[in-house]
Amino acid sequence: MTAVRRWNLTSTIVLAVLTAHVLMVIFPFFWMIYSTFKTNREFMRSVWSLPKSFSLDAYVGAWSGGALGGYAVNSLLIMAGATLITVVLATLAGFALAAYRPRWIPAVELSMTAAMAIPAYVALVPLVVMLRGAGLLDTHLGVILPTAAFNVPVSIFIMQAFFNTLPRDLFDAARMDGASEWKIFLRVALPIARPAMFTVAIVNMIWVWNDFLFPVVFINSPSRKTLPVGLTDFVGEHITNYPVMLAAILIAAIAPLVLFVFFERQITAALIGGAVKG
Amino acid sequence: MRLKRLLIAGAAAALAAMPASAGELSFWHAYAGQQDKVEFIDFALGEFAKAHPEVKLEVVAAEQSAYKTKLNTAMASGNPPDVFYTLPGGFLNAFVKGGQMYALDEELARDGWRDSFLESAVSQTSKDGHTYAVPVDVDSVVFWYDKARFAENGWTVPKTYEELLALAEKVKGEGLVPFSLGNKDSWPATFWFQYLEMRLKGSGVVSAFVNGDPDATLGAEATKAMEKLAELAKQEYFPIGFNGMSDQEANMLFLNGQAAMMLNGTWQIGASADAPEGFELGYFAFPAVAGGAGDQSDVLAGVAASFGVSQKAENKADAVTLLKFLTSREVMTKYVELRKTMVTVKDATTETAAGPVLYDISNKLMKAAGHLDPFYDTAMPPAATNIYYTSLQGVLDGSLPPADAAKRIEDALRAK
Amino acid sequence: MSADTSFAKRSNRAAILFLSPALLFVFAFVAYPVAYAGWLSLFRWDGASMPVFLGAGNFVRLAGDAIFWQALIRNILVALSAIVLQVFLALAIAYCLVRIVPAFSRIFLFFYLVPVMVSEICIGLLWRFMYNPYFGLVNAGLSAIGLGGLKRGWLGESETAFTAVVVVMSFTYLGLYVLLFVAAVRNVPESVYEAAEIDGAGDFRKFFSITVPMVWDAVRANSLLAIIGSLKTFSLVFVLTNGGPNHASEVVSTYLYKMGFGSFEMGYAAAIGFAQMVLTALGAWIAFRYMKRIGAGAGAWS
Repeated sequence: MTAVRRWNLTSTIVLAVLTAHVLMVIFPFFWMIYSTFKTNREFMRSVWSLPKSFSLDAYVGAWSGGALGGYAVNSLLIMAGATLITVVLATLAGFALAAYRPRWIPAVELSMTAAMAIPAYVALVPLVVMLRGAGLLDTHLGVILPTAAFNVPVSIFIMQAFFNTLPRDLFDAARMDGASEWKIFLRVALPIARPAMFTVAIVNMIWVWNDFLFPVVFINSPSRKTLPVGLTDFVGEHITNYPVMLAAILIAAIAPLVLFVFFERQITAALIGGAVKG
Repeated sequence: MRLKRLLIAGAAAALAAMPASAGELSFWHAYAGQQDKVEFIDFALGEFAKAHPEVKLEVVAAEQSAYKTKLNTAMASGNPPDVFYTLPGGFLNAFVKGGQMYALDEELARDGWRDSFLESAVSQTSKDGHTYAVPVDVDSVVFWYDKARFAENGWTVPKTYEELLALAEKVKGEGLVPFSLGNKDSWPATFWFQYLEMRLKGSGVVSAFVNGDPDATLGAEATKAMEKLAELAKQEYFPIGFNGMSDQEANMLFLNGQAAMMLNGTWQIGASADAPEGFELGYFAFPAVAGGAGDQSDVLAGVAASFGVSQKAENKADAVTLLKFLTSREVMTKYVELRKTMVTVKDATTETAAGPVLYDISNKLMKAAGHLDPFYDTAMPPAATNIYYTSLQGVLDGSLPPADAAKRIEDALRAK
Repeated sequence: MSADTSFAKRSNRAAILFLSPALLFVFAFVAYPVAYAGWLSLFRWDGASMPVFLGAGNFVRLAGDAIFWQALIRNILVALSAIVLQVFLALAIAYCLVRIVPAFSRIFLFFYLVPVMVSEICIGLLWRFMYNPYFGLVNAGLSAIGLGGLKRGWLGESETAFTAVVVVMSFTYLGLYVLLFVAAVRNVPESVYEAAEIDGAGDFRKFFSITVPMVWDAVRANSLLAIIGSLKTFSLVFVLTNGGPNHASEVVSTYLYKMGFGSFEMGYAAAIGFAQMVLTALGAWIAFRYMKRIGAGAGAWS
């Protein structure tokens, strides 16, 4: 718990600086919102001006038949699947690396580092070949598995770093009581690891949600498209209806924003964790 | 004896007539993202389903840049779609070289299908005497301007290159940008270079390279063309930061009257739909360049989209049916109407469908042209295109000397 | 003695058991692409015709390819700027949010996270409008505060294009690190600060002497995220400048894309990818170890 702090000059200065900074970060989105109320002609006339009339046509156009809703569901499924796999595998592996420190740690760390570094474009053709062979092309699983596989190495490092901060005797005590390694993991390590697991989960959710490359190449059916891919439906080669495109982007961004607003308390609480080391 | 042979023949026939997907086709296209493209493809595929209910299409659409990644990946992984959209020229030729495309010569010869196309269009989707894709639409490049603004300022349409430069000076004096240009994706600047090369040397320069002509060369004229380009940039006739501006942003400048003229393709007609009140779209041909050896009436015009059939397609008969349907007069006229672009099928670009501006271009400018020169960047092999693009950007921002740029492109075109 | 060896054996076995799911899974999906990239880099292939064996030809060409090396340097610059402008700045912001203006921390955190939740392609599009020399806010803003002389073509001029892209990156990914650091900073016990306060330490001292060392593990982890992300960065550069003008803002991934999907030179693209992989792995490895050495003894439990 942080002690209640008295308001002083520093606080005011910091508040002012942060506000200015946040405004710079946020203004483009504010602009996005009020631009969606314009017609395309109005938009092309003057990109930054406030709308003259309040038109919801852009949203009608963006929603057109609810395709975006379907894409959001696909994105959610893939995000959930990939994140779940990644968190589970990374926690197990990170724990093992920290708790047991086998002799062959450098080999593992080096190969994980190499796996983290591979550029996705290079992997496209072999992955397509693999997925087609397994009948997974154009399926949700076909996107979930490679996405998770590429995110696991970084996540392992994060979990390993976390587990390294825990004292050794925490585990030794349980071991002396005769607990098996698995029990130690479940009963001792896992509960404490919640904040780190949440961190890995959130970072992965964001990555997978915004991922474009794998979904666009591996998925063909319109019904299975994810949001980032579906949004390109609003970007034209020569002509783009900007208010409609921006409305679509906003609709797409609503899902994660709403989720965050509702779960913010839980998220920050989980990120902090219970152990108040005083 | 005879019975056995009959049985074998029968079994063979039965097996041959049993392809895994009789009546099924995978059809990939890039008609997504833009309203008019989507309208057209929905119309075309809807009508096709009505006319040929026995052919089931598995349609995959992707927006232009994502489409290329998808298609290349599918091709490279050994599983291309049956029928697909492709750019003509270098893009298509890469597939042809790899034996991936099914030659349509036989089908084209039947029922006068080949004759329904403009000959210049079909030659752009053919190589070494065989045709590997059917061309769909034609884009041509002209100067666009706002008639109202010109009238207001008393500016007249230039007939020569010198008049064009003088006009640019006048426009600049008014505090406006003479030529709108958004060269982030590099292809807009190619229109300038190509027209200058066409005026100075003549048409067919790059086509000669592509056709393996041993005497093909860009000539010293290429350096002159580059120098003229560099001059235009130095005189600040283009917008500030044009190398980072997208074509669409440049279009906004043009529609808003902040720029007076724009050298762009015929899609400008559709792109000007959201122009402010009072805007009157007009066009004029690229003016004559004094001392130029080329035919000064040549027009930069090339096939923009084409559809081909994969060599690996099991159901080639249905594939051809689809292509024939898409390139039929009725569908093509609708294409003109919806997309306001010229098509490759004769007599499909009618006045009612095209509207006054496009019809004028199609009927007057194109018909009167000495030659129609296809787009360099589409015609040349993809590896050369990259070098073409970056060289142009370099010349325009002053970082690359014109002679070097011309040489680089020439070397790239010669490379095997 | 025997207890130790039996523990060693047991721990080895346990380690293998716990690690195998992750390792096998990653291996399954990553090994084949890596091998394929290594194999393909020895050929010239356009994706359609028969591949042509080149041996080390692609790598010889790569060694002399100025564009590639300049792109790599830009990636390193992005990584360095990410560490300063994203990781450390985020830590400073997190400190302010948690310890100086806690009442506003929730709302600030929300705002910082907005760019993170919108896809990079959209952010790129937004910033292209911002940077437009004619109707963009950047130039308009500069005029408004009297710095009109600083107006530029930003994304269109070779001198400024790359910097302009880096600025966008720093605004965009910041929020994620702020979120992660807020949690880490909140974890630092109050008692340590109280002890310092008694000694008369102000915010500055507290930040540098207490907070930074105590969240060093988080700094390491976040720096690793930032470095890996920087070395692979693609979407923002692609949408903002496409590596231009004339390669002025080219990074390795955009160059790879141009070679593979633009020029149809898939063998060369594979060589670029393979080289990037090796160099990135080495770089991240070194950076990670170096940071471990700096932080050794400063952390609470290591």
